[in-house]
Amino acid sequence: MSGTYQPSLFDEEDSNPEIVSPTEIEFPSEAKQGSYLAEDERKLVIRASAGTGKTFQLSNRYLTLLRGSAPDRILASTFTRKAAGEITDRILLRLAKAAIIEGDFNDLKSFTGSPELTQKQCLILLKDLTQNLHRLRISTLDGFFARLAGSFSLELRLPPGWRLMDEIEANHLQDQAIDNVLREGDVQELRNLMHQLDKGKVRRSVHQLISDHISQFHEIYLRSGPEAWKQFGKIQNPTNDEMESITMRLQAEAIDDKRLASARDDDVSRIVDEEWATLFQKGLLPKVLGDGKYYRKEIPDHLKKLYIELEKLVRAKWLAPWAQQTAATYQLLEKYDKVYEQLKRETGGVRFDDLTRRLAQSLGNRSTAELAHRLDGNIEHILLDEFQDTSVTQWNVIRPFAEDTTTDPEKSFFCVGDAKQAIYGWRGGEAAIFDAITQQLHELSEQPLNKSFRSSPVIIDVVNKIFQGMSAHDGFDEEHATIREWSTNFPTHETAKTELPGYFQLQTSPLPDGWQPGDKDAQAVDAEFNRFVAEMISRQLKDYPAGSIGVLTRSNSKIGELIFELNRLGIDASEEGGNPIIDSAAVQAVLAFFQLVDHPGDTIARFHVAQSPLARIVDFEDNTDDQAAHQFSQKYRAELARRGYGEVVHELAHKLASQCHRRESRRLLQMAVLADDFDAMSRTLRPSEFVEFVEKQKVQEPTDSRVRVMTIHQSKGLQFDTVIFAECDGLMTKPPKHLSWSPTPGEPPEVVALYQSKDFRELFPKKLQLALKQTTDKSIMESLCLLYVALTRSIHSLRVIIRPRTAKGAEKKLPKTHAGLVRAALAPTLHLESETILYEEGNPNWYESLKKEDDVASHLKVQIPITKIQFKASDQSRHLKRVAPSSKEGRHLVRLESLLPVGDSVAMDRGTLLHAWMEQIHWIEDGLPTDESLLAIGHRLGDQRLNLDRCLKDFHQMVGRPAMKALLAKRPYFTAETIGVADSVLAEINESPVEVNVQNERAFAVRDQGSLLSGSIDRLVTISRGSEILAAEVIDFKTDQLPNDLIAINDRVEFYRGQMEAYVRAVSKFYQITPDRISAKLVLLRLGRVLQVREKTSERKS
Amino acid sequence: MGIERVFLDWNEPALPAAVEELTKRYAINGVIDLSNAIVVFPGRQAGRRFLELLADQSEGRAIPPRIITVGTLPEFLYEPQKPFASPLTQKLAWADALQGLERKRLEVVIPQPPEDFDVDAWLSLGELLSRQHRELAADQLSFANVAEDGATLEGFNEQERWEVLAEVQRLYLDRLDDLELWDQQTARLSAIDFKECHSDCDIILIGTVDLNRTLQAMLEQVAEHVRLFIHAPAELADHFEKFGNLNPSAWEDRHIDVQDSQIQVVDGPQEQAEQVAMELAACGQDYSIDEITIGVPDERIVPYIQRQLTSRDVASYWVIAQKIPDTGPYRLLVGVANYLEADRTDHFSELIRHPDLSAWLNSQGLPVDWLTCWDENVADHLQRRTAKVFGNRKNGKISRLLVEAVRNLLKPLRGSSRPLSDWVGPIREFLLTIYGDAELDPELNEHRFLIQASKAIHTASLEHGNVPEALAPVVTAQQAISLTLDQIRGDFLAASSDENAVPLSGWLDLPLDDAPVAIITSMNEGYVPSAVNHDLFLPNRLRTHLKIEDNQRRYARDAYAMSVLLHSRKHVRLIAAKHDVRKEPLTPSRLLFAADPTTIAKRVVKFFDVPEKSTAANNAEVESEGKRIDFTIPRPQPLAEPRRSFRVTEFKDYLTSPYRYYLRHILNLNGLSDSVVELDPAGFGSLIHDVLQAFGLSDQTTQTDPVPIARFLNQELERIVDKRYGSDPLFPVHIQVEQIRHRLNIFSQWQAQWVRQGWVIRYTEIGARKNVDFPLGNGTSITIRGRIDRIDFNERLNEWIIFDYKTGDKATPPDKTHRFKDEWIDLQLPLYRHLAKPFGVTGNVRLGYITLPRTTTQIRDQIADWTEEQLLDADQVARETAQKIIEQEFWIELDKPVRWFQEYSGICQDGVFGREAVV
Ligand code: SF4
Repeated sequence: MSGTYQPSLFDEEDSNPEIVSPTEIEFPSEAKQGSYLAEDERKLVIRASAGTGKTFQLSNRYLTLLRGSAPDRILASTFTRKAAGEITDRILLRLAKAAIIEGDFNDLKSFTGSPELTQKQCLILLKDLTQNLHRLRISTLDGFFARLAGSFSLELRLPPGWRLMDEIEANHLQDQAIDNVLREGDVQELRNLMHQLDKGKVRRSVHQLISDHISQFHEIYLRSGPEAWKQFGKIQNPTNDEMESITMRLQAEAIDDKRLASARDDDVSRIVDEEWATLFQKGLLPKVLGDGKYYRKEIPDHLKKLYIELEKLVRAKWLAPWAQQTAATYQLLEKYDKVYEQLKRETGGVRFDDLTRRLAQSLGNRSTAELAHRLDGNIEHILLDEFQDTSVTQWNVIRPFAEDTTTDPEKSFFCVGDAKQAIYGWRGGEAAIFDAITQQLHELSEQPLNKSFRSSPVIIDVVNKIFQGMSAHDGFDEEHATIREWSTNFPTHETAKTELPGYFQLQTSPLPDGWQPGDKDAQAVDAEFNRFVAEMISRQLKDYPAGSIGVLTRSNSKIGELIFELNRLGIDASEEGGNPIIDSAAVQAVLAFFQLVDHPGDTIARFHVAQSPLARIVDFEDNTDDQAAHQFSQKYRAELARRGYGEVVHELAHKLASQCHRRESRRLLQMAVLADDFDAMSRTLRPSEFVEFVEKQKVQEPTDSRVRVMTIHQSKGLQFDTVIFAECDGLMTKPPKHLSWSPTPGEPPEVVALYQSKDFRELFPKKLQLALKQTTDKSIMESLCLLYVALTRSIHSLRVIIRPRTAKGAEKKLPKTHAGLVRAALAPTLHLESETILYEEGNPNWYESLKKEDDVASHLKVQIPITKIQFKASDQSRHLKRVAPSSKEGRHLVRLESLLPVGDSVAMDRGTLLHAWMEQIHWIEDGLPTDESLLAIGHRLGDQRLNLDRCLKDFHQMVGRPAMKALLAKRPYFTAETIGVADSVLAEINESPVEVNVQNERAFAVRDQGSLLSGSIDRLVTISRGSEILAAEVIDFKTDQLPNDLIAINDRVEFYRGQMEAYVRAVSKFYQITPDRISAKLVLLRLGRVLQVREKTSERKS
Repeated sequence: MGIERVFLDWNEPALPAAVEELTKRYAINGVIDLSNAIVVFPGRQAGRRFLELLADQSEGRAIPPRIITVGTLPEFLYEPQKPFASPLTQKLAWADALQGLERKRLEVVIPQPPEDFDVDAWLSLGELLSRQHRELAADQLSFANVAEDGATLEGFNEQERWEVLAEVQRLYLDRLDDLELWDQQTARLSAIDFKECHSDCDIILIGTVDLNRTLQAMLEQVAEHVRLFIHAPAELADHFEKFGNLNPSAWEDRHIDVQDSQIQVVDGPQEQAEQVAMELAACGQDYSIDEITIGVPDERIVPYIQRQLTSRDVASYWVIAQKIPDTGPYRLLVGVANYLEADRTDHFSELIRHPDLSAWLNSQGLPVDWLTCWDENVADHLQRRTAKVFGNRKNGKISRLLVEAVRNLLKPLRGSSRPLSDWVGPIREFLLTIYGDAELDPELNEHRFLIQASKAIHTASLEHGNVPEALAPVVTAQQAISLTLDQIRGDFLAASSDENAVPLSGWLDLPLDDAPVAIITSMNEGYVPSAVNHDLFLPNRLRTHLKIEDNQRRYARDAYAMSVLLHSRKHVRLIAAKHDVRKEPLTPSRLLFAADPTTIAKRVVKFFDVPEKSTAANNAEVESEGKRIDFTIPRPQPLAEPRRSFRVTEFKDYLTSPYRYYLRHILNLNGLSDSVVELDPAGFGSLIHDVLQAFGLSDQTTQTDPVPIARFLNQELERIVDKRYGSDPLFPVHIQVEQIRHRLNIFSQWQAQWVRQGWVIRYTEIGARKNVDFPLGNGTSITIRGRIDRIDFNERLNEWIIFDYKTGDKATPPDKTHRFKDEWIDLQLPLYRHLAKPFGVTGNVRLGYITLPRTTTQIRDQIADWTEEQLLDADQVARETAQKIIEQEFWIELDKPVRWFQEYSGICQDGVFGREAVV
């Protein structure tokens, strides 16, 4: 490349003299080889903190690899489909820019390996890449797995014709499975199960109990083997006799010490009341197990002995229900899973998880080379993004590929992630694999990345302070170790953006007017909090209109509340947490409509619909009219069946829109989209299922507003000028539903049990204690990750808002919340007053220096007016309605019976056969076709059951009739004696000799009255002289079964008149003769009758 | 003589040029006689348009040729010697062949074969192989060929697999041979082998650029009759092979002459639809509606476009009017099959809601509200199956009639398994019973769909009769129905064309379309061109190796199509999306990058270097901004007559929410649902109540031994459960009954002890119909009524206790339920005093609950210790409340949302953002 020419985007086409000509572009991808990666970077793990440019690294790497490898040999995966799309875009864009813009080229070349890339090579690479877009393997892991599964579906035993279900559909199927378990299960078996599930105290709602269990434990069930659920050892639930015996012996024990005796008595009544857990906390048992002293006096040995005996029994008593409950849960899940799998097989629906699991099971023993053939090529380079979110099963599938690429020097491996951002544990993500990867794979080099390309120094500083200082929190017990560990391992962050202005503030929200300390109305405090946040956003928007604002919450419901407050202030915000759409009155009304359609007897729904704006639209205004309600239901059930839910809801939404404010109509629109989804997955005849469906769906709809409200989970990977962390007062962790323990990350859990409060930890069997610890550690870790993600989204400004003290006194300890941790690090006061700034750093007016640079106007949304679509007048030349003459028959009402032929096979009907035979007759004078040839035709038409011999006999009889003979004879035409044409035409024909011609099955196509008339005429006879056509006759054979009476026959002629007229017009047009030269005859084959259709020609003429 | 190749200039659309060319060749005396010609197109749509043009350009003076699509051409070229096996027969034969294989061999292909009885699974496998067979045979390849040829492909490790498949293929063909049937593919190959192809007609192929090898070989044998019309300039002759197929390598590097201004990259389906609308608005001035075609390579976006255009008053036409599985008869049969499986109540409830079936039921002499009767009965009796219908009142009777009607209707479809073909008749009969009475008008879309769908089902079912006995499975009606429906699952009903609509057209139909304007959506990789890389049987490398359709050929086809479009249309717009309907990311089509490298670079920058926002952001929703809201909570209407008679329990409702009180007690609005899964709290409670009532009326009330009491309660429970729910109710009912039994057992202990304390039950369930006068203190009075569960008397103490049984999971004491922060919120127990008076219950009267909660230690009496003053205050509250109700004060807004009355939450806008009021 010459160094003098600097191409720019705005160059005219051909102005670049140096441009590579197309012939120079070869396809290196087919034969590319060699690596442009430095040796020590071929197997690389990057631990990248937030905002440090992971995607940048990944795309550099990809481009470097692309220089020496075909795109389908490079597998790049990331966590979301959106991110995968962005990586592709980014790779293309960087290459393209570098190819034509010097500056971008200089930026790129230093990152893409050695020898250094040239600009010409950029062009070649780009060309190569764009021609091979179909061979790219940049996707989510799920996407890659889906492809793998598609190529090995028989090996994986996927249901034939399988397809991937989305979340919505899967949930629907799960509900169905639960229903099936309950409806079809074995009663006795379920009964026992239920007893154990609820520890004998069954609450009223059995259904609730079961569905709760299933939703809470199915995921862990799938991950674990049956053994894991049986880690209680052999627990014999002590018999009543055993218990009575020990009680009696205890009671009988003579004790001198009064206090000791009364303590013993208390213990005895605890045994009687079955308060097992208390026995371990109070009374003598803990003393016996402890130092053996009570009020500093040694407990007598024989009593001790009794207590030790008691301990075993009580422990068993306490453990037995837990063990049984756990076992019963497993059994229930087993049952459910079987039904669920069955349903999936029947419907062909498969989830990504299923694919992953099956792949891990079935392909684990195959080498990657073995997979290469069906995958259409080997994978030689792997790039894994967001590795900390990889699940165990996913890792099991990808691991052989990883091992392959790390052991072969020609291949390469790259993975990037951040264990500090592992917030998808609930989805099976297992950050520990990331930590362990260097042990599991060969000789990986590691690189930390802690320099932010996102945040201002203030933000980075605060992040460091918080995470390094949070272990000052004194409120945690065992969890504190985890927090301290996190804190100690926290790498000090830096930023490359040292110039960026920034601001941080930790502040409490105000309390409602007239609030008294000790008041317990939490709702009022929340409402005030939300208002406060909304106003803060509003101010920020005014101060810095160009900046983006991200509002982070932990729960979806908070998002809804904040959005509502923002909307009240007239601020349009993007709602990115899924909430059910039933928070809209319009949606509620439409749901009532569906409920009514399903249950016309539901008078609440009747009233609701009849009293809403919907009433007029759906024409249901009197809720007291029983009959009308039932007719209404019938009508709309038919409508729904015919048009689908999507269409009906779209229409309702459209009609209601004029009566809604913006949020309502957006909700309606979302409902319409849900209805489309519903159509796609269900063909139910039950509108109430749609109601349930809508009530359960959580809908989010990101818009491009500058204010975006979302959960921390959703904010991952995003950045905002300002971040407001608006929900950090919730507990760090919620008690988990189950405990589990795996010996090494990546292995399936060896221990699983339902959760038990850790207060009785000492009673747990050893392994379950381990499980408790592992489970709590994990959730604390994840909660810390969540905090980390929340605090690292901001570019300039970060505001953490916490609730003030509402109780009377000061706090005793810092709360176990995110707020607590932040306070511990930055402002460890226990006196939390309302509306107070607890800590701040940086410049509150940080935006001022930026303001001038931004052109505010450019951020105004461009409104495109809704254009009216109008078209030029048309001469209707295309897409004519196509009409067959038979449709010109009279108004033709039919009964289904006549349309569904009887018999057991696709019997050709006699009519078709007779037509085919008639077609063989030219002129009767030439003789009839031979029976042999007729039968051959019969056979060819594919008929098996029709009695051909009989048909043949009928045929001969038919054509033997005098009228038929006359019709088929040539001679009469010479004098035109039997045709119905004008007298003058007759005369003309008889003037001198004419030629007569017959055409069978004569096709035609003409434009007729604005439509295309096409078809064929059974028999067309023409009378001509020289090249001039004098007359023509259209003959149509009918095989109608009808009585031989005049009225019926006349009726039939009238019925067919339209059709015959159409034939006549077609012939008239074709031969360019007037209609009065054309005769038309209808032949009723079965009756052997020939009927003139246009006899009145002569009169008509006059 | 070989094949004649005719090049039609691609600067004009192909079809008019083709008609012109044919006119030149076939016109005699002004008449174009094509009666001896077969004209072949790649798709149907082109044929239609061709006929239109032929009629127009000849002014009706043409004898049209036979117009067919490529796929059906072979059968015009030879005389099959044996009947063809139907698709179903083929599937069955493949399945049979697979099952006939030695297990070890089979596992090479299918590591875990389905169970023998799993007919469906085997059939789907049969179909899978059938498809591979069809594709390969179309290119004159057998499975054995793949095994052989594959051997020379590097990395091919599936030789054994294909050898086994070849064995299956042999078994399959043998099977058909035994049955004297032919597989269409094989018939064609045999016709080629025996040089049997012949034709008397001229065969004219227009725009077919992708003929398979089998067809080519057949055409070779009739070469002198074949004419190829190729839509391309003659200079590009070397871009086409002998039979007009594209020469893939010639197209691979060819630039496609598209301008940046013709391309628009937008976000998703919605934005594509909006972009289409904008393009239409932009070209509407210059073109009429029938001069425009919208191309939709991804048909999933059709609904988006159609809705978008409808909202702008532009009609559009898409060929699919309805998919067969969405049609009435199809869905009806699905419902029937479901129900037949196990007679489940929920399936029945769904089935009778099918509009066509319920229309039929309406004509069976049932009362108009039969559906409501059924729903209520289902909710009352919780049956798993419809075998027995409980209930004695109207609901029960109507429900029995209903079940009977459906049972008779389905009788012919019951019974044990029979040979497949034996079900054809009953299925037909069933359809006729439902639909047979109507006079159908084929001109009406609705009727036309019904007719077509029924015919499609019937035809599919008739095919069962064609399955040779040796292959025909023995099945139940519901399996027969599934097999029938499976065959037509992918079919659809065509919409009737509409000249006033913008047509939406699939990508394959576009090249031969002749509208001057083409707006093409989804110009994305995967759609245009499509690509197959990985595959279960034929990955791309293997395809290339076998010289069958591969990515290169797909690319060539679309590159050619795109070139044709760009050359022959006046106005072409291409829209590419960034993601599809399922939010999968998309990249623009490779075709858009078939340019010189610099152009590619610029184009990439143009496509991707834009802020994320799309230009056509949601306009639709802005429209309604600032409009008023009509979703208000309906206001109470004045009553003709004020209420004067009250149940003692209803005051609580008013005190909670006057408005909801109005809905419940004045308007009597009730919810209804049959989606019950178990006893609801009311059903649960009433079961306990009924047992205890029987107890109260029995001679056991003075028992002091809990055992006989428990025995009595148990028997009573059994009796009532049996009467109400029988032996096969929904499963949770069993559990709930167990639980009730448990609670009653504990109750009997309490009861025995209670009696030992000197208490006797004096009254049980009294006062139901009795209205007791209750003066309001202003000269007027009201009446109150209510049913008291039980009144006990203790002679020793000379004390009465009025009891109410409480059966909720929690045991809330009376004071908690009746009073909140020193205010009465429920008046039930205090007012019972007045109801009990006429029974002589006066003097020392106490009030309380007998609670029967989940926690059994709390199954006992809970007596309220209200003072006389408090009780008088309660009376006063009752008077005031009654007065307010009489004065119709129903619209009173509350300070706090209520947590009860969930059934009215929709009307009252609970949980609605910006709700109008809290009531
Ligand atoms: S898409 Fe929008 S505009 Fe069209 S019908 Fe549905 S709601 Fe109305």
